[in-house]
Amino acid sequence: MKDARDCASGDADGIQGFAARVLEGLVARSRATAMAFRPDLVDALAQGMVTQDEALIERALTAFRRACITREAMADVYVPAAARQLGCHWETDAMGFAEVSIASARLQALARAIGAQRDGEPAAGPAAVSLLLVVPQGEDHTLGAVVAAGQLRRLGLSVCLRLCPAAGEVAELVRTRSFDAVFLSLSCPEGIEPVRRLVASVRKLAGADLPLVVGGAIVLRHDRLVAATGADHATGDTLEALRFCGLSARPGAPPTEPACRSERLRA
Amino acid sequence: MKVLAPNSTAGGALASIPPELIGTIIASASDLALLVSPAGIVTSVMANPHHRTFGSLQHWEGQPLHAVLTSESIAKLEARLAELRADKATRAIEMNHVDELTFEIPVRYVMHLLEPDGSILMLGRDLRPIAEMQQQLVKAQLSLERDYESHREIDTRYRVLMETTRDAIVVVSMTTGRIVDLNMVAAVLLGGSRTDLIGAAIAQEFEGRRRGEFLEAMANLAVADSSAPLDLQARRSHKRLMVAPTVFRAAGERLLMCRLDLAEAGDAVRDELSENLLGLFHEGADGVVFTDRDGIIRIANEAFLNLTDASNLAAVKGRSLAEFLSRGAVDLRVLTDNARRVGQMRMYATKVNTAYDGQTSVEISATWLNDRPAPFFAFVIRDTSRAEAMRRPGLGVSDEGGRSIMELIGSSTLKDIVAETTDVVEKLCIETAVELTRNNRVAAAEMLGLSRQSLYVKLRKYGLVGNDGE
Repeated sequence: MKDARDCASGDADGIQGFAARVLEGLVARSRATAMAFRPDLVDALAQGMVTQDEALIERALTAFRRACITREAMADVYVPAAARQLGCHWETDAMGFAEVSIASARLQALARAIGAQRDGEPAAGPAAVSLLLVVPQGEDHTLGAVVAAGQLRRLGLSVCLRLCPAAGEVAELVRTRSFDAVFLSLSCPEGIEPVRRLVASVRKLAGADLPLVVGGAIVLRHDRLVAATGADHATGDTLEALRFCGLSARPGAPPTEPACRSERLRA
Repeated sequence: MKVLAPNSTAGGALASIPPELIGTIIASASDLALLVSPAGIVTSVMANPHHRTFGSLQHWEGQPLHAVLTSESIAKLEARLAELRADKATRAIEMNHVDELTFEIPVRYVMHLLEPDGSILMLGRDLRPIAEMQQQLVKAQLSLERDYESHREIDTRYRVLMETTRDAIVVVSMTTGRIVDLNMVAAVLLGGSRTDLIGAAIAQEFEGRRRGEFLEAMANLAVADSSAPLDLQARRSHKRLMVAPTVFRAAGERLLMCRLDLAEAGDAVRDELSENLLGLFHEGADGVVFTDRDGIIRIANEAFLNLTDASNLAAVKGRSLAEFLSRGAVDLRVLTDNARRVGQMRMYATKVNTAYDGQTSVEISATWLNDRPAPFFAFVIRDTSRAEAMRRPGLGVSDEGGRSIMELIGSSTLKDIVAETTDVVEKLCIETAVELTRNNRVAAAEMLGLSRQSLYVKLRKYGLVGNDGE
């Protein structure tokens, strides 16, 4: 009640307090809406990547700021969604693959730029879970792995990302560092045979205790991956992969929440 | 393509092209042309004789088109064919050919439905040059990503090294004379926060030094074989420091790495807690003041200097803390008497005098450190002025008012903020009026200067009609 009287009498403190209360109300409202997934922003992002028009890209990024979407949510949710949309555009021949390739490259540069802003990001602690994330040789698609690595690192894990490593490099890594799990990212069926060989060689070195999980776009296209590759599990969901391995993220970062939601809640 | 357009203006002249030439023309107009029967059988393969070779593809004739396509291309083809048959408009499609003799060939076709028999003429552009370029792009991207990953590993090692070493390290650009990087230990010795110091001119961090002179002295010292480090006084912390420089180049830039040591020996090796406490003292948001048993200030931190608008430690050192409290000696006595009696006193609310006759609301806790020959009082002084302005019934503790505003600006336009604010303001005022009048709608409407009708409309709008029963 005191508020109202303060306002009425023009008391400066009262009005300030009142304004603060109003602003808090507004913030709470915009936070509530920011948690919803916005397909229109995926379109804007994909379109922005196709063009060379800086203004269009800037407009897309402004739309993200307006929607109060954090850069983490942008990297974890919207960049992969835009990449999938570009893939669909090729499938429906709405775009040529030259266009799609260039747009994907720009998208990856954007994901990288978001990941590069490490200010304030704590280094993984000595007890942090450590992961080897490999995109095997012969794969062209690295965006998914780059996004997953960023997501895992923000959860406090120490991630060693290796893209199309030379033969022997993975074995060397497994021999010399101690990983809690190995994740393999795969997109096309042609990669299954090389992955099967990789899994076998890692098993030989590390035994059956080191969990091996296959992920990536392949999961949607192949339903008997575990049998085909010899891995322990196959999933397209990074957090599910962690759960399968019995690994957890840093306390305070609930692994079961989708990234966009948990990031908003923490903000 | 116009060969096939019956209504084109060139149609008449083109009609005179001898049929045996049409195949050659079609083949020359594209890189690869296919004629496909309604049943999906390749009836004719026409490769451009002037184009880079596809190898011999004549064996495709008589085969189903599906047999020479990759699996994802088959799905695309079926979808485009259905569209083509539905609206008869030409369609572009990108597909990948594959058979046991050739590698994968990406081709962009334009498909034409040939009436009346329903055959499809497909005029193709060889996309292999673009595919090669795309592969180059993928390779470039891969090596970029790999570079980034190895950079990241090294960067992590560097950061950990900087933060764990006991040596105070400052890296300075010789060109600009500004601090490029420094570790926590160095920031504490210099008397500022790490973020404040990065980008600051190094010469200005030491008393009586000009930029050119400082850098020259450092550079000379760095190349000299055996010389003692430079003895300098830090401007912010007033500490005497020994500065030992090393000059090196990184990516063409001449950099100066200075190792700082306290000039006074006997700075005992610090343990983690002492270091953290020191960090808290220097970086903390709350004012911290240590006084002797009579309340004479011996040392105070930056936050206290800010709170009192004092320019530096010298301006407060040696003065009584009472001079800075609004009730003067009374405040000090309450604090010290209580602390002396039970060891500590918490949450004592008063005001601090600032320079220029200002006052700031604070909460003070006092601790009596009696475990030594010369006991000390430690005071922690917390600025509560902003929290006080925000603290209202039902509001909760709102220290984040400022942050709230920052979150709004940039995420919405001013117009939107104002429009939404109006709604929130209306709702709050109406709620308050209803509460004040104990849900007497007539009185509430009168208070707000609204008709009963419009109050009711607004109550509905904000979902406040449920208050009826109260």
